Amino acid sequence: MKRLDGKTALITGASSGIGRAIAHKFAEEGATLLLMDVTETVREGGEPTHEMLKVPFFQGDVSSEVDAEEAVRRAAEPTGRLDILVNDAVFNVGGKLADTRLDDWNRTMAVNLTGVFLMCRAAIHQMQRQVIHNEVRGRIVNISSQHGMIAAPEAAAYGASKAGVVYLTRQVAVDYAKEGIVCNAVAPGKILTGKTGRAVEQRWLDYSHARTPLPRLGRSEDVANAALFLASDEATFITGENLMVDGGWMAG
Amino acid sequence: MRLKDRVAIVVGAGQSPGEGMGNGRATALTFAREGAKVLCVDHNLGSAEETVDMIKKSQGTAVAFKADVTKESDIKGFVADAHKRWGRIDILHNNVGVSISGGDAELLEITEENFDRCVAINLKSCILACKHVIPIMREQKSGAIVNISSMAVITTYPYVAYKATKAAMVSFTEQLAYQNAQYGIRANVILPGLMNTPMAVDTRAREFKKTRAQVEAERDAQVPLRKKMGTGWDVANAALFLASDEASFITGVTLPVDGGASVRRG
Repeated sequence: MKRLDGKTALITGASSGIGRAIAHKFAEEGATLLLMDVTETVREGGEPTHEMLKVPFFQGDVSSEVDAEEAVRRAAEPTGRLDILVNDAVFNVGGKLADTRLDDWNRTMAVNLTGVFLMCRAAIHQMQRQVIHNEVRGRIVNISSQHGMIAAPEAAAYGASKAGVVYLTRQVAVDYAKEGIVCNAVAPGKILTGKTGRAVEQRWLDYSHARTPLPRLGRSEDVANAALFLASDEATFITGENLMVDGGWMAG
Repeated sequence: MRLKDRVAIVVGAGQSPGEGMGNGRATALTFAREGAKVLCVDHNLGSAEETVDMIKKSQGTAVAFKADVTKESDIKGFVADAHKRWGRIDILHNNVGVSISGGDAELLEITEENFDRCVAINLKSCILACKHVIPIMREQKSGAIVNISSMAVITTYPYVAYKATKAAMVSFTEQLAYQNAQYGIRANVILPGLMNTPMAVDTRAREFKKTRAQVEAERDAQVPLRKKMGTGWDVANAALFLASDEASFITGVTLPVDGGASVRRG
């Protein structure tokens, strides 16, 4: 018995990095998948995730109401259910507040926060129409960030958007607990996803190593394991939580 | 199997009299099911032996060990026993804890003796077990510690010793995690919420002269998720995740397993 046998899952931001790792893990554990992303190109390189896993792909933007509704509709089509929504899609340009352009701020909020709102809303509408299975009607796992709980250095818009995701997670959890909808977040610390550019500039790597008590930085798979735990039937009494996967950063 | 060939100590692997499955027993069974060898420590040897019998019936490996966790010599004893028996210690799970069963009370009612007893059972036991396991884990350059605190840390709770000791466990776990991360040792803490366990439900039924069903109904009503308490298995599953390699980048975290109770306000 695999841990997601019989479950249908929709993963946003699934083409690259953490989303790709979650897709891989969920497929291994038996889930029926729909992957969503604005592009099928893998940031860190390699075969497109949906081709590698031989699962359907929906090219869409989580900040578009139409795309969010359509993604949920398509995800639920094969089985009539959406058991798991993983919100991983993210946009980050970086920058201190005074240097942040309004359109960058707006785009960050649109993808990172409005996108989570739209995807959750569409998913909850679907989940409310399905019966409870193994004590849960549906599950949402939001990928938040330790940034938002602590300040994101030189990434004002990103940190603010991720703080919002943690809040929305609690709100959804409490408002829909009675109906058996479970909503949690995973807060990655410094994860080496294979992404280039700002993410691996030496000053940020030095900063992350200095702040991470465990001897290594994170891997996408670390986050995928946490998402799997929260998406599985093992976590049926956990809701509204923000589980840190940060090598002890926040304990310091 | 997610804990294949791991050596685990579950402190508080027996359970209080009553119906159903306690957190400690459920955790010992889960660790064993996933392939760990489990030293089942409890002050009540008979209850620890029941846990061991259940594990053996499922072809698992476990040994019962009687200990008074308020005595450092007993703690040294079970750590040495597990280490000698199986050659290493991968997982330490600190599950003991008392509230009303230890004589805990509201501030103006608590006696010095009962306060000291609660502190010794809930906090000193956890800290001293870590003291004796950490050198072994440092030598191995690996290990996972899971401490069981309580949702009472976050939400309101009537009695003083339980609240204060369980809160201290959270701070202690963060310190433990931070100071031992460089050795590849992880430490995390679970906050169980309202659970349908023998200790939580049957103890209250006896103490407050109510039926089990009455206590169940009162507690169920307070849980946001499905209006139903959690079970020992919910805690066991969270402990399994945190103790396994799946959580190898997770340390110093506080994980409530509480049906959303701690995020609800009002």
